Amino acid sequence: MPSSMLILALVFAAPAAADRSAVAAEAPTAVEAWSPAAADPPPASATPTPAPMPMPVPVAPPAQDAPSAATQPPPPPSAGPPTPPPSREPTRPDRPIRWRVDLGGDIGTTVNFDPAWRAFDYNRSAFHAGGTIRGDFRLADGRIFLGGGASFRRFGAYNYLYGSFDAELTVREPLVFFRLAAVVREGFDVFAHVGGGPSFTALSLSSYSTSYNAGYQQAVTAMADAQAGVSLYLPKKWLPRRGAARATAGFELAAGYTFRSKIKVRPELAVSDDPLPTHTSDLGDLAIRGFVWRFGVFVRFQ
Amino acid sequence: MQPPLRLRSCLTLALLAGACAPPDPYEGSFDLLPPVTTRDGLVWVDPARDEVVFVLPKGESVTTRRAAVGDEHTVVAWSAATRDRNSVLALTIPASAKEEDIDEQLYRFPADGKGDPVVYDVRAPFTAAALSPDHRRAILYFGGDGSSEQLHNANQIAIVDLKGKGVENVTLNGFGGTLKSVEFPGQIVEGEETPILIGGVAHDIAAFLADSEVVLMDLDDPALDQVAVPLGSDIGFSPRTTLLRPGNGLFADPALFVLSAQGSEVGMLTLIDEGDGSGFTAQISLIPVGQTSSDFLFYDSASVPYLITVDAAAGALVFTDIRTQGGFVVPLGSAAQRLFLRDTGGGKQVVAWARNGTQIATLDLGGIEDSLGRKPKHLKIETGIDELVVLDNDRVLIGSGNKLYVVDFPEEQVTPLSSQVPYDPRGSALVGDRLLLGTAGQSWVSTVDLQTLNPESMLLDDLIGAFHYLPGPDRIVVTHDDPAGHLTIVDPADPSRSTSHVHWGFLLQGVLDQE
Repeated sequence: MPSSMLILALVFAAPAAADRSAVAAEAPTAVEAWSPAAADPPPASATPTPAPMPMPVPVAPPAQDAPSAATQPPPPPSAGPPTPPPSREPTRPDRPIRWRVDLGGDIGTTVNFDPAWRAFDYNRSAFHAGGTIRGDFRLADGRIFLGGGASFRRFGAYNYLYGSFDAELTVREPLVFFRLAAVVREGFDVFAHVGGGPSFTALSLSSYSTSYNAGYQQAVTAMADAQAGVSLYLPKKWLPRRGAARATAGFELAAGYTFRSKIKVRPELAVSDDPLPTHTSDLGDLAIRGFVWRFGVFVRFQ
Repeated sequence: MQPPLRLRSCLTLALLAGACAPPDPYEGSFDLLPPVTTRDGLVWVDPARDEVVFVLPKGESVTTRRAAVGDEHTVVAWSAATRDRNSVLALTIPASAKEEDIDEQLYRFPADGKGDPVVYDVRAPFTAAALSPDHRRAILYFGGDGSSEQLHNANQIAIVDLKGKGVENVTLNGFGGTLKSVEFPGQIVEGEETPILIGGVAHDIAAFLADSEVVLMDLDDPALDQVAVPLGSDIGFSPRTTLLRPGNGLFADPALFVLSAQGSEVGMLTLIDEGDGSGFTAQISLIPVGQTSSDFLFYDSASVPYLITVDAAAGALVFTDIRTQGGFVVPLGSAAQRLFLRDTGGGKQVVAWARNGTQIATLDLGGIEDSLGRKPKHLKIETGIDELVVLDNDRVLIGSGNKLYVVDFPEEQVTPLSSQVPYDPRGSALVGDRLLLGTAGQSWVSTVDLQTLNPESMLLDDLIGAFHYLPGPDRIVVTHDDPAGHLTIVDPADPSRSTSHVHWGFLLQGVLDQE
């Protein structure tokens, strides 16, 4: 399961609690309390103080070798091998979070309340999967991020209607949305988004008796979506580069409601070449709308 | 802090409502009864959803209407159109033997689906219906298949008034024979009341044919005494059909002739008024008509009232004077089983034919009593007769393998038409001088102009499931085998692809809008 793997990844990626307490004491990260005001003294680990480069230093001769040293001129410094500098990882400056860009994928379910949906599915729930790209930026140096994004999701349904007809339906829909997120503390956001877009529905109804007949229809309807949820992601202090980390990952849970305008279902019969004029019947209205929940994983660049 | 009790209850109910999906409205079967042809359209009965679906072609469009029939405790056993095709009958019976206190009801819907149906309480799950030619009544009874009920009264009937709302539930007063069929022998003109005068009193007589007996009833007054006539089980007389001859100057009393399924006699029931107002009675006599009799008709010459029967074993016509029971035989010289009369301008002509026979025999009846030894004429059908349909007074259509023959009696002409499939009378209709053909299992609709005998054919897009002609909109409707509803509408006056159109999915119209 992707969710369980992600949770495992989050657990193993986090340092041990003892280490975290030590690090936290010496290096608070800048996400939840970051302020560029000069009044605050920069944390020690976050201060971009350049470390002095160690220079090659001539080694002093031993004291008992002084007489011979007096008779022999010391070798020129350039003649000996230089002493390598002491090994130390270069430190990177902390990077305050001003904006965030997420790439993610999600799965979820829409619970459709229109009885007509049951013609295309044996139950009310439609499983969907999709992907999202989104971005937001910090508002007024506070905990609120405002942004938006685009996503795409797809779901399908199948039912053997009345034991006589194959009824299939596929919905593909791009979604543009606005997103408002609040960082409760770094690693835990609550958010809400509203959006909308076109919903492309393809449906078919077919039967087979002595001959096979199938009707097809494609419809474009309006879709609006509103969801709220929580995001859990790795805070910078848990990442190897800590405050300088530029990428993290997490998952989110959301729930809401998706509205789609009604489809007047009237499949067109598939016919052979040069057919007789063919008319079909109005099967009724289909409103694919209802409560939705989803679970997603994302990679965040910040 | 605990939420208020009311809020908790609402939350609980909301969660339960979300968790419990309502039952699937689209489960169950979609096995509709075969369509019934009415004057204006086709009518399907959907037993699973307790609905009657009216499909009415009009111009380029098809209108679909639905009407409820019965409920979840009942199921539609059968449906039929009335003879005038202006109504549709559907009988509802309990959905299962575990359903108790459910009455059987006959629904009569107007053919256009508009308006409420008339509902008759008929008290029994009858399996057959006889419709009177005068369009006034239907008689429901248990047909030859009986009933699946644990115990049923085989002689129970229901007389339904198709012009009103009345129903009479009656048990026949017979001699123990089981009812096999119901006939209206006095009604010889379609759509018209033709009461039989018995002693000057008009009676609308129905004949109930049972094992070895016939029961007669006046439908205008079912309270009158029923007349049960035993025809002799000892001689194996099993009534097959009846023929009623009204009284006239040659034979004053009406006579009901009863043909036996086997045997060499025809029963003759002379109907006589009781005189006390209690109805009528019947005097029985058995007329010997040769070795066998497979068909009969009556004919009045200038001075003799004849009963004409066909002796299939001897291949002869048997003429019997019903007054004296004397007669004569005219050998046909060809196989003969069936008879019909036609006018020849100045007189009558009897036409005799037999299934699988190769000749049609005709015999002029003018002056037959004085023309002993008259020879019949023959028209040869080379490939044998499978089906014979009387088109009008002068023409018959004969199906013979993959050939059709149009026989013109005045011209004594037989015109063969070759077909790709055997002729099926159910796939044909006669509209004016145009014969329409649409045999199931193939994809051609053909027309034959009977004046010029010029055939034309039109190719459909799909195989024909059933052929229907709707006199109201004057359209041929060909249904194709598809549970969603698939038909092609053809103009009989101009059957071409440019004037025809196809409709699909009409049986599912509005299916998504159900609650």
